[in-house]
Amino acid sequence: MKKFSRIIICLVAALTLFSALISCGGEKTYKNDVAVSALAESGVKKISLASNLTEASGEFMSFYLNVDASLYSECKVMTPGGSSSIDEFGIFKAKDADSAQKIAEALNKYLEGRVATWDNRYSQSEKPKVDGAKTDIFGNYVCYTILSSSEQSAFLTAIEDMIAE
Amino acid sequence: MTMQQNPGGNRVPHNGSESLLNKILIILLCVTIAAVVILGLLFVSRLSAPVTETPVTSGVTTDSLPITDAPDATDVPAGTGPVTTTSPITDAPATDSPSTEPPATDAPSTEPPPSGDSYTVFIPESPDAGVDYLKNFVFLGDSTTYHMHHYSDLDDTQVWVPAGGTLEFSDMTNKSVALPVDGVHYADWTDVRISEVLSKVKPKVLVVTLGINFSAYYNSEDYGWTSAKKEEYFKLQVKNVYNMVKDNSPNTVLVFQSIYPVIDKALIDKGSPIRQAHVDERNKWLYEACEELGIPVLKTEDVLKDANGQLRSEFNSYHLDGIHLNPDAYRTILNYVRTHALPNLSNH
Repeated sequence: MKKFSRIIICLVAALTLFSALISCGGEKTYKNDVAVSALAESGVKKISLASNLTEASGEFMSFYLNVDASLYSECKVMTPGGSSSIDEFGIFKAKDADSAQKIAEALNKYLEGRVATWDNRYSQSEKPKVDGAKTDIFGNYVCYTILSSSEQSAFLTAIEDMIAE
Repeated sequence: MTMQQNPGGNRVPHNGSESLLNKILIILLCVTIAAVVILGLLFVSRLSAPVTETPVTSGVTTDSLPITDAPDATDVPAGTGPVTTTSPITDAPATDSPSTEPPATDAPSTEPPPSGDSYTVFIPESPDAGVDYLKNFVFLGDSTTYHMHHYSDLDDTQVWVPAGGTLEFSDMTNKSVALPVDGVHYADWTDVRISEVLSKVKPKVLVVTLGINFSAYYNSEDYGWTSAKKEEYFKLQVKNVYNMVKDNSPNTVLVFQSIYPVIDKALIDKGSPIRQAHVDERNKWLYEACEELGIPVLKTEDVLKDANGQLRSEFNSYHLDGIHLNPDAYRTILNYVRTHALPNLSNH
């Protein structure tokens, strides 16, 4: 009996070890065929003041974001149309992983500038959104968000859920 | 089978296969525990720092001044001074093909820009057009215009400002103002795109007072904003407004007004980085853009400034913030409008 119990313990330990090895490794992979507009539509549902958003003009894209158009095939950028909320986001579908990285660098530069030149015309309650602004890369999709912490998390989860494999 | 001595000194039989099994068991358990611990540490590290995120480096640039909480106040890089270049107004890039930033240059223009009162677009002095003359006007602006709601005798429908009370002079084609709704207090009006409001209301005269909120001005070159780029972008907004009016209400007379002066001392006391020199530079860009487009200008800064070229202290709002105006200031401004009447609208 004692021997039998030892064998059982060995088997259980081996099974646990095997499971640990299986789950320990490999990064997430993402699809590459989801339309940016669909991602934006899914994410925008998580923003309570979505009615305040308006699609960014080409002028905004070129003067502010400075993302080289040759790096991506699709994009959707939504900016504040009024003055009560600073909510903003952008989703880019890069042509490849290297392009995704370059897009992220440009967006990070833009966000750094936003932090450095905080616009006091907005209420101070909006400042945490700018301070918490960030860029995320999901495969070939690059996303920047200037949202409240909770909405940012919900927004990014919605995006990732649509493209995670 | 071998013999083994127990702690009591007695020799007892010892099974070699059981000993080997025990050793295997112990080794297996140790490896399993180690693997679980490593897995747990890996899991915790992934929770705190997602692999795919590119972190933003936040912080203030070394040449930025302290941030204030005053309305319309923005950061400014120290050392940014007036630029003597005159850049032509360019069209905004197409929406479906955004371009990369053009090479920036800070080389001064070879042609001296108009100075002082040499601009042809300043509306000259005229006899007083009377109180009714003002009924033709709608004033579009930021918080310095917003206070006309309660500091002037204008009807609320004549003051166009977003419901939030302020307006940034950027991306003007995408900006909104609160659309007047009968019977509803202006504070509860809903923001509607300016182009849509223009097409619905079609005012006779639209006076635009914008530019004190121009956050791009305070972007440093570290983020790609050269002086030339700031000037180009500012003038592009003038053209954006011009095109919006032309496209949505072509019979509306568009007029730009000077950006109102400020009081440096009050701003310094409040920790604001805004200075009169910045306002002067932007007014210069404004006048140049209006000159190029043929937009008349109400140069109200002439009656608002003191001998030092800053806002007269008796015109500063009750908050003494150095930016916003009080009822006396708005009376002076509206009197200037009446005594610098547009020829086709004047009763004289």
